[in-house]
Amino acid sequence: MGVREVLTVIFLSAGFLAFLAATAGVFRMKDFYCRMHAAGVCESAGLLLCAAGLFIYEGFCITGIKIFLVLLAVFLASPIGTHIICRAAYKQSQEAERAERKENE
Amino acid sequence: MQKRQRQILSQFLGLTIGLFAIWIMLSGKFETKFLLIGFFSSFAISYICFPLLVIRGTDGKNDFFVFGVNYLKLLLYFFWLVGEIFKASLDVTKEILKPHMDYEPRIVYFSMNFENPMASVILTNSIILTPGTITLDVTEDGIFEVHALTKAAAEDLLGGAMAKKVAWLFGETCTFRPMPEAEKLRIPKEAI
Repeated sequence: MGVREVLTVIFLSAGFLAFLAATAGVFRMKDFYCRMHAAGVCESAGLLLCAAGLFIYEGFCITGIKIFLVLLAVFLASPIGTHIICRAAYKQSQEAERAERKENE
Repeated sequence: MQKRQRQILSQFLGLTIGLFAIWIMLSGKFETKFLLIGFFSSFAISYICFPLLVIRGTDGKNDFFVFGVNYLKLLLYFFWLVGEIFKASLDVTKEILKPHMDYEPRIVYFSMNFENPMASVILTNSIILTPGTITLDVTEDGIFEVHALTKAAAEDLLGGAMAKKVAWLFGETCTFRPMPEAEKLRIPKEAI
């Protein structure tokens, strides 16, 4: 086993641990937004570590560049999904709170 | 006017060449047939999409091309962002693995009125990509509403390092203004 394989194993294991911690966080956190924070660890750190491991394994060739393109696409697209879900929940909760306050008056 | 036309032409050609480079990278074939098909399809795509990729600035004076960024600066920013992501990920993982969950989520506000809408997009995306902070909303006049998981994450954000980096990336001169008086410790419960 060369240096490259060892580095790949280290990076992929670190990515696996990040995914594991993020999944535990999604179950452990106390409310909706905090769960989204925990899920954010897997889409940024976990994916970054896995992509780095695969990039080291493939070397600087066409497959490696494709891995980098996938990483870039996920980095551009996944925050948009997170933002839309959180924004919708926040607006809805604000409206619900306002309605509740009106009912109490 | 002549200068503006030349600028548009160079942006259009840049888009075509970028798409063509991606085509070559993904196909990996160098026969004439494939190269011709690739060139004409990337030309057609940039002809159709170019008007959609020019957006009006927030004060309505200038037009900005979406991919008109300094790519060297963007690469430096990307590596800086990767470092920030790792630091923030470690913090959030620590919070997750603590036996007693004693974090205090809060909503913080800051104002950063970019002229280029792409700068707002990049800043919002970077904030969400960093674990521990999520942008909930950005208003028309550039007020960012951010949900932070811990006090440390909120203070890091209100220090303004990330916003200043984005301003440097786009060559903007607007000032960063944290709004600690608007900070909310009580978060409305989700209505589901």
